[in-house]
Amino acid sequence: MGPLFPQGIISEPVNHLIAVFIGLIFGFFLEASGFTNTRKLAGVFYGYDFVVLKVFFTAAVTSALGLFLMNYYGLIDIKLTFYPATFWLPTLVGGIIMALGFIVGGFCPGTSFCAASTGKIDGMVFVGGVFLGILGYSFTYKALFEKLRNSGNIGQVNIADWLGISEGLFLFLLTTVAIAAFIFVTWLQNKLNSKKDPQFLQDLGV
Amino acid sequence: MNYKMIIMKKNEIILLGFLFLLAFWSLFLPKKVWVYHQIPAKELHYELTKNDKFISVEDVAQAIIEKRTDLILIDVRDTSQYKAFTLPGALNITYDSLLFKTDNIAHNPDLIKVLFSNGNTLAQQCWFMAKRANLKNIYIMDGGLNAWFDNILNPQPPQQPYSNEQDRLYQRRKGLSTYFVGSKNAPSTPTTNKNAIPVQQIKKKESKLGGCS
Repeated sequence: MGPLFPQGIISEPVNHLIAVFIGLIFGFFLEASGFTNTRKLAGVFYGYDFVVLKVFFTAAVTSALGLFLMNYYGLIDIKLTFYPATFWLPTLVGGIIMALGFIVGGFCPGTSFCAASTGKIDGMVFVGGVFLGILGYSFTYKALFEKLRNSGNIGQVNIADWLGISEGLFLFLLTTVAIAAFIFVTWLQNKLNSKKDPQFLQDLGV
Repeated sequence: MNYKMIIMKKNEIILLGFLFLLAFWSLFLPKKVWVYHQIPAKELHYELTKNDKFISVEDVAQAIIEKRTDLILIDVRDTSQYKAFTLPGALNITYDSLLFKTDNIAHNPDLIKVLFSNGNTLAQQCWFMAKRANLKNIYIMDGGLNAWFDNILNPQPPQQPYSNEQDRLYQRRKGLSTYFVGSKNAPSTPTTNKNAIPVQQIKKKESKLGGCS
């Protein structure tokens, strides 16, 4: 059955319309979960709020399990979905830059747009920075980044194949690790916060 | 360890429990291998409108005689019909198992697959399904076994008036027929077709000696 667009089941305008609806729901829940608050987002680095880690782990496991099961039961042909090659070196460098930006700015690109749309000035400034970064990268790509961008290509990597285990076993291990991390950060959060003055957290807006 | 510290909210426990159940379920599912990947409708339409999906019975007969290893003949009819009569060396992959058995030879992209049935209809339906499933190098024997009987096993001389091309085709069919049914259909000496359009040979003009022409 799926994916719908690559197989021509839905047209491009309908595809865009669905994207808009998914974007609306995504933005709504980001705001509802407090993801437009820089203090909450940065909390994962300081140890007083691990909601970011919990959300990202849950999202990764849910989508991995969902795709695996839907592929197995014939609802989606996973080979037709966008499956880019892995360039490990630029991904590593980009990840470090992203993490630095996350700590310093308190947003990731998606949450900054959410924050900007709710009228937060720090969100708007962050979005401005995102655009400047994109333009800067585009104009200096040939001179500075082209070599890095194309280095470390290891092709399309499937971790389960790479480890030599079945996809089901890999998913089970991933879910177990995620649940263990979930329990660990809950313990860590409760431990760290019990030592702090509740007023301190209230001042942070958490 | 203070266990009070790891008490989670009720909805978090429900969510994690649900994910764990799904993961446990996935553990016992084997890797799904899709039998085929569909091609987009536009590409399929392009393939349908192209006229190169047919291979003539004469070319198929030639391939059988030459014992080509890069070409396989697939009889898509029922097994009972296959057992009654088929082409030399043809495999029987019925229309209902063409797509759904991934280990069958029809899924080998390097081989030229020629589908045939009694006429064109069933083979064309199979070709369409196979194309939709993105199988490569797949063709139809034009006219099916009916054309095989008419043109290879029992070739008839073309009716008057006929062109040189029709005559050459008839001679070729008779030659091929010899291989399959014996010498009774051996090609005769080329017939002279009185009604064929004579080929006019252009004579080179004799150059005159001297002077300007």
